[in-house]
Amino acid sequence: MNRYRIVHKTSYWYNKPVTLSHSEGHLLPLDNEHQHCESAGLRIEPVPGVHYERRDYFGNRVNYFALEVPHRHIEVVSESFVSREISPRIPQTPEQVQAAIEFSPSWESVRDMIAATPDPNTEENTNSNFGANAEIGTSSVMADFDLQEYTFASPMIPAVSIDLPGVASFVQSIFTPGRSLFGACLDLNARIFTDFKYDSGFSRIGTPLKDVISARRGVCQDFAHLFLACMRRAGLPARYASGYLETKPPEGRPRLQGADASHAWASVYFPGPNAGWIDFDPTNNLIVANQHVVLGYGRDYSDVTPLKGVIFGGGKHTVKVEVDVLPIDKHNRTIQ
Amino acid sequence: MNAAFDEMYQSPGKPRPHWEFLSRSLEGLGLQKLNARRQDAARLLRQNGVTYNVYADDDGPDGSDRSRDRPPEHPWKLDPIPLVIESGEWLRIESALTQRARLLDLILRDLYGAGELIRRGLIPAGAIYSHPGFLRSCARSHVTPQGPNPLITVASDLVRQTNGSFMVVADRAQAPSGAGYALENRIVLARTLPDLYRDARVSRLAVYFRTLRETLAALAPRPERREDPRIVVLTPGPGNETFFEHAFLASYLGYTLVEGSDLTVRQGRVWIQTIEQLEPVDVILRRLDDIFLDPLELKPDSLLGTPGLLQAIRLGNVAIANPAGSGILDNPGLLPYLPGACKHLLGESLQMDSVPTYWCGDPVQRQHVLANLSTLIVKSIFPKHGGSAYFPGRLSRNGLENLRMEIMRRPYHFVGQEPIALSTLPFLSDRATEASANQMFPAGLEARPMVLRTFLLARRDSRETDVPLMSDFVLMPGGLTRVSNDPLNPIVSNQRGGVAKDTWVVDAGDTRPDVALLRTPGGPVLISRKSGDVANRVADNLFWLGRYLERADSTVRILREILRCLLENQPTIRNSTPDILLEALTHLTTSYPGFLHPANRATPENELMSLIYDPHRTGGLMYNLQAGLNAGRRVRDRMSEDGWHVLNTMQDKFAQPKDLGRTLRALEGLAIQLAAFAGIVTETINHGQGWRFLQTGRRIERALSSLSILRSVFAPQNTPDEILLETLLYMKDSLRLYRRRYQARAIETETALDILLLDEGHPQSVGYQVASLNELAAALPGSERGRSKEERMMIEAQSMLRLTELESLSEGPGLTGLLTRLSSNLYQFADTLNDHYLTSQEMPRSVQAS
Repeated sequence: MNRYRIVHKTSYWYNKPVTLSHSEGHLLPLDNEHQHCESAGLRIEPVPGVHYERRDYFGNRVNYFALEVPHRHIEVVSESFVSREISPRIPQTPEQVQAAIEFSPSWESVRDMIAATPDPNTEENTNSNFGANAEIGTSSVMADFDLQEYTFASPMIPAVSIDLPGVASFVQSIFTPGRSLFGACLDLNARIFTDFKYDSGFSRIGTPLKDVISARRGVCQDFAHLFLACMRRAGLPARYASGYLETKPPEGRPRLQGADASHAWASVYFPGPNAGWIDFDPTNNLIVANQHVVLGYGRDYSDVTPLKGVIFGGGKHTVKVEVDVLPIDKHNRTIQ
Repeated sequence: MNAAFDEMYQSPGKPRPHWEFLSRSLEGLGLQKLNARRQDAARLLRQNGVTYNVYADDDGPDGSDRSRDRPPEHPWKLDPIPLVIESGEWLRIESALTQRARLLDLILRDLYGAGELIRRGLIPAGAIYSHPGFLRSCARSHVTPQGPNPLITVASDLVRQTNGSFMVVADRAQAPSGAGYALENRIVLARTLPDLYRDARVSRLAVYFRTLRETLAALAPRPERREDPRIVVLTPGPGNETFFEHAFLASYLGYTLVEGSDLTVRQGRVWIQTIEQLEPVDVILRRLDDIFLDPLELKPDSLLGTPGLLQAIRLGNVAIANPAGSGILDNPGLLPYLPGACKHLLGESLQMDSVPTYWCGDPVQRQHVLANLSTLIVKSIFPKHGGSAYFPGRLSRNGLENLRMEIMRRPYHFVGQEPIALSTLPFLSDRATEASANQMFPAGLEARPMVLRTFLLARRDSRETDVPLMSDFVLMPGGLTRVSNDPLNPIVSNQRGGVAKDTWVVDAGDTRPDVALLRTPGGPVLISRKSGDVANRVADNLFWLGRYLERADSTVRILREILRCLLENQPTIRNSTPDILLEALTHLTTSYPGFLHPANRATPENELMSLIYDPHRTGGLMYNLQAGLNAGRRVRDRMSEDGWHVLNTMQDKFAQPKDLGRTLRALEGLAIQLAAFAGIVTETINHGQGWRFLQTGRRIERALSSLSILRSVFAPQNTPDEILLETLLYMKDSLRLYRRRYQARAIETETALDILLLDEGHPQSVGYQVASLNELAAALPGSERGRSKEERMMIEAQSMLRLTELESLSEGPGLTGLLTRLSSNLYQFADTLNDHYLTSQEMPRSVQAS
């Protein structure tokens, strides 16, 4: 089990006063089968006059707050303590990965299964404790039809992105007939990692996938979106994960891309005896395990944007984001 | 295919029983008179400014156009022959449609609540999850402290099949339009055919709007405010296709018409930003599409909505009709699943069928659509505009193949719908003498396919504390009937230039009680309008309305004198008067180089025509009229009908350039209309803050125009002669006064200046404007807390004028200096006012951080 203390600090400076701002943050980690959020809180400066927390449609923790007095500076700090122990159903050793490649269902069978609508004449579905609108961020097993939520175009992965020839050629070469879903995902993860260059200066929020594909570079959000566009083109359910990576890797292991900032990756649903989501990090060509901490899941970045707001006034602004993900021991001391 | 059902005639020349009365009356009236009545109706509609905006391109129904450009407006067309439906049949329709509305309400609550319909497979997940109208921000947090957000209004479009029974072709729940047009149709037709309307015993529409007012009041989340709640109509603005209706309904119901930027969310509540303070809003009747409601949670780049609105709704601090996310019900992919959902939710069979519809996300239905593609109508489940549909039967081989591929690629995005032979209605043909083909109709009438839009409304009681488990719906006794403008084209749509008809629900025999008696008697409805209720935007538009119209007035006055000089071309005017006036015109309209260029002075006609008629000529007459009209349109809910008539007809005379003589007559007419408008406004607009801003705009502009003209005329290089002074006095409506005061004495510069500049008792003088502005500034909101900057500026201006010694002015640069100082003082005054009251709303923008 790994334990982390995560500090995510976002600061805005404005050259003119902001008279009113409304903000929404997805900054507090959820609980799921792999992680437990021991404690988490937001510190906002100046203190907002209005602040509410709720669970969103996807089961994520959302904070709405509004600053109704003029301000030139705002600082939002989230601090959380998370313990992380990946479920044994996630393949980790080379042998487990090999077994998953062999035994995972074919991608076409998954595609066809989730497209089916439950038969209204059977009572089977009505008593289940999952299904439409269950807290899908936190539960691992989902009803087939509810997975359809993750197969269609979404605000930041629109139909034009899914239709891109670049996406089509990826899908064609990776999703070959009869291939196992796990094998295809692993291949897609590796292909994005090798074909694309991580370039923190290249893209910004909202850079179209078309530009990412033609330049062959981008950041973790772009790679996650590309992964998802390919999955959706193939008719498969996949969702966007927003979270963090351990800042300092264990000794002897390389430092990963995307540390010291918020991170993003893709999550794919596998039906069958060990049904559940498996997360893939195409930025680092990894199957997500204990070095990742997830904040929340959605269809794309827009569902789980760490911090967004609408402001009145403010003139020009500068923003600074700092993230620390520090491993800690049971006394909450940082492990050096 | 069987012959289409005709609404009026059961066989050639033989009207159905409930049409006999109308048929006889129309025959008695005769074709010629009927045509005259149609023209009456068209004129009334035009005067009332009833319009329907047609989008020029694909910029969408959000009406995101914030410029002052004129949207492409089309006059609303009304045919005088109504659709008549007999009350017995109407009762059956009512029963079926109220059932359908109950069903749609429960479906909406379930989709955004428990999700049982999807879980049971009664509605396929793909038809919802693939639909951009399914707002995740509203799902699961849809429930407020008062309960789920229920559906309040829904419109269903009905068509009648060949066998005579009605079917629903589409439902509209997001922000259904048309109820206001239906009412306007009724108002106009009742005026056009008063006797006929009175004798036909037509069910009144007022009952529907009374219920609407009661329901909206009952929606106010705080019971103590339901007596006198603040209700607003939220519009995307004048660029929207049905903006007329938004303004019309707001003014008919006595609500405040607002745009998203007029509202602000603070402390989790919605407030209207007035020039005085923030006032809480209880209920929003919205005509803004779902996706634009809140840029924080929905579409971040939209400026039409109000950030924080969804949170305020979620907290139960404001009610919104229809609830955010109700656009999911407009999805035609739901139609095949309504019978099953009805059985499940209501335990009954669906009373009225939908037009057979196949959702392509289901493999069996998709198979059917692809196999019958060329005979079906294909629709997107989320059309960009209201009417987009494919008629595969009319597509080329290539077009058909492309559509097939689109369906295969995103099957869930499409439905196929059986085409229905629409029932027909008699339509007063333009080709009045032509007999119709099937001889069923008398000469002059022809059959046109029709669609009937019906309006349903949840009835709520202000004593209810919680949202009822099921709503009770009422049907408007009437509706909006539309016929295709083209006899060969069955698509009935306003975007394609359809024609509207009134819809009459009448008793068949004389035995039934008058439908009016079925109404519950209610007390008189009191409309209270709070006086402080002037949103910044409203004040801004009233201010600019005043400025533009006054600017137009000054331009008309100087143009009139110039044209007279040119037309009379008398030897006496061989002096410099025309040249000085032409230069003054250029300065006044800031249309440089204009007449400062000698060639333009030599042959002034082209430049004059351009300044008069060219709507794109900034500062020109037409430009100012249109800008004034656009500002007026944004506040038309505040204006009296007469004021609107005058405003609306002003620019008609300037649609086509005319020769100088006829232009002069048109200018003379316009001067009278402008004066009439100013008089009507003074007499009819409540003299509250809104009126003050309009007056302030007028006074500022009148002073600035006078100062501009005086500066031109008394420029150091000019030595104004008597003719010029006389013209100047005449132009400023001051010659009579001068003659009375100074009798037959020759006109002198000093005495003329006294009247035009200093005399505070003369409504045309600069001194009068400044004195008025001084009073207006003292009454500005907040001025009770001591002298405002605006007030101090006007005191300064007034002192400048009062301390002026006339004798010192006529020589040297003294006059020019004074005029310049006064102008800049007034410009600063306008800017300060603007900063304080008018543009304090900054535009919101979105920021994000990872």
